[in-house]
Amino acid sequence: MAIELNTIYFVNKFGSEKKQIPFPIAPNIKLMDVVPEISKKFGISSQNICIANMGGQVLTYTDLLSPVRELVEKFGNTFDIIDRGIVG
Amino acid sequence: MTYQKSKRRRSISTFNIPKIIVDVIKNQARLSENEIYGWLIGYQKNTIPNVIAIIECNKFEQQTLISAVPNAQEFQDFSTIMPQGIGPIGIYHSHPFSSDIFHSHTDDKTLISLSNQFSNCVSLVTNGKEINYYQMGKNQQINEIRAQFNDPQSLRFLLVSMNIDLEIQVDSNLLTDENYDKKLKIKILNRIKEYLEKIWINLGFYYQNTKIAKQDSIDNYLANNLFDEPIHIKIPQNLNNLNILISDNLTTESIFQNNIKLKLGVKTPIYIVDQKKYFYEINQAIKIELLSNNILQKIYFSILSDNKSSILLPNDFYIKFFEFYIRFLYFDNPEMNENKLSSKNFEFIYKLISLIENFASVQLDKRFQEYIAKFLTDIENFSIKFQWQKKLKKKILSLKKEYKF
Repeated sequence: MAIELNTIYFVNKFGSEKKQIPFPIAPNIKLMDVVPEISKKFGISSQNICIANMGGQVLTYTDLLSPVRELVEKFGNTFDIIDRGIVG
Repeated sequence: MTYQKSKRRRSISTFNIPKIIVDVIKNQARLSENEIYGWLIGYQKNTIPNVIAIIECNKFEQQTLISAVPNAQEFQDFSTIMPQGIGPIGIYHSHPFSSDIFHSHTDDKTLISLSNQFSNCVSLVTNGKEINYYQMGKNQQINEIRAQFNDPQSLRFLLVSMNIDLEIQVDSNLLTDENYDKKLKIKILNRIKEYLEKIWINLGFYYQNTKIAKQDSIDNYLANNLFDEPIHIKIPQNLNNLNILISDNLTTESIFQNNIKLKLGVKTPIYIVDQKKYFYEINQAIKIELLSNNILQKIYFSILSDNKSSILLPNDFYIKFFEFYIRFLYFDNPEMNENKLSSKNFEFIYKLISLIENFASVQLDKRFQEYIAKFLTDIENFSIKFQWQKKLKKKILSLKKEYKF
């Protein structure tokens, strides 16, 4: 049986133009499991990556361990991708 | 432009930044014992970054003499109020008490990561006295680049607007849920996003009731101010029949008794650097700004009326910040403002005023004086809508006095 896929959207606001990447994903997958793939798509180092919802709420580590279905119901289907931009 | 280095001639990249902004950054660094951090705001023209403003980082996850980890929420907050076409194109930070200016290994890693998102990202490092600029070159090599102290050019934008009236049928069972308000809004947000993403390609762009062809040049439609005639984005009649059913689980037991009205209205500037572009080339940029940076955010901060018959969306308030407009949300109803948007707006406006205070320490030219005068006037007009108006009044007055406005 084919697995149902939901599309979630990631928006990156670094740069002069905001960019969006649609990301088809099975609803039972934990977001944490696809963070490396998301990092790769946006070119952000995995350690620097941060995800927030449209209301400006940054997702916690516990949130990232929830299945995508739950996250979409709780935060919506569109997320901002943020590079922390650590300097030393 | 070329310069001599290591007995080898090679071209050096440049970028544009007003001297006044450089002086402000240096001054911030001199006044702080810890590393300072901030974002360079601007646009790119012919692959050359143009810095036109800065945003100072105030919230840190870590801030010491030798490191700075900015709070991600702060980035999210300010990048959301930026218009499409203008945004963070670089970062600045300081190395306090350091006689040499250098780009550390950590700085290199961050610049590479940021350059993957914006290829000509600039990293500026200062010790308060001297200042150096860096950019990622070929093979991820970090190169020192040169600043040209040019003033920003006046920017024009496309003003786009969209109005949608929706009637949403909600399962009455859902309204008995303890957290129905938040649950309902997220469900609506998800459905509208899916709906608009799906039909976006079919939407028509109209200017003065005439349809704009996708191959039309954008040049003839550029606006200078927010009161100009906007381009209206319309849903074709055959697609304007969205029947939104909201339920926890669509079953035969769902009872759709509650009809909720939602009037979506947005008007936003899309800044254009290359005026020779055609509409089909900027279609995606318009979609992302309207959907993901405006409509969804408004639904998120909306309020369900007491009788559960309509969803009240916040309005936009545009404030001129240096050369461009930034967007804040407010309700016409003061009580709603206090409950929903007051503290978030206050925090951000206060932060921007603190930034403007930094400009008092440097010699301003006429252009920057005008920027600051307009900004303070806009802030005063916006603050009338909130109870914190009195708290800011003194601060604004003393700034006006300092700047002799």
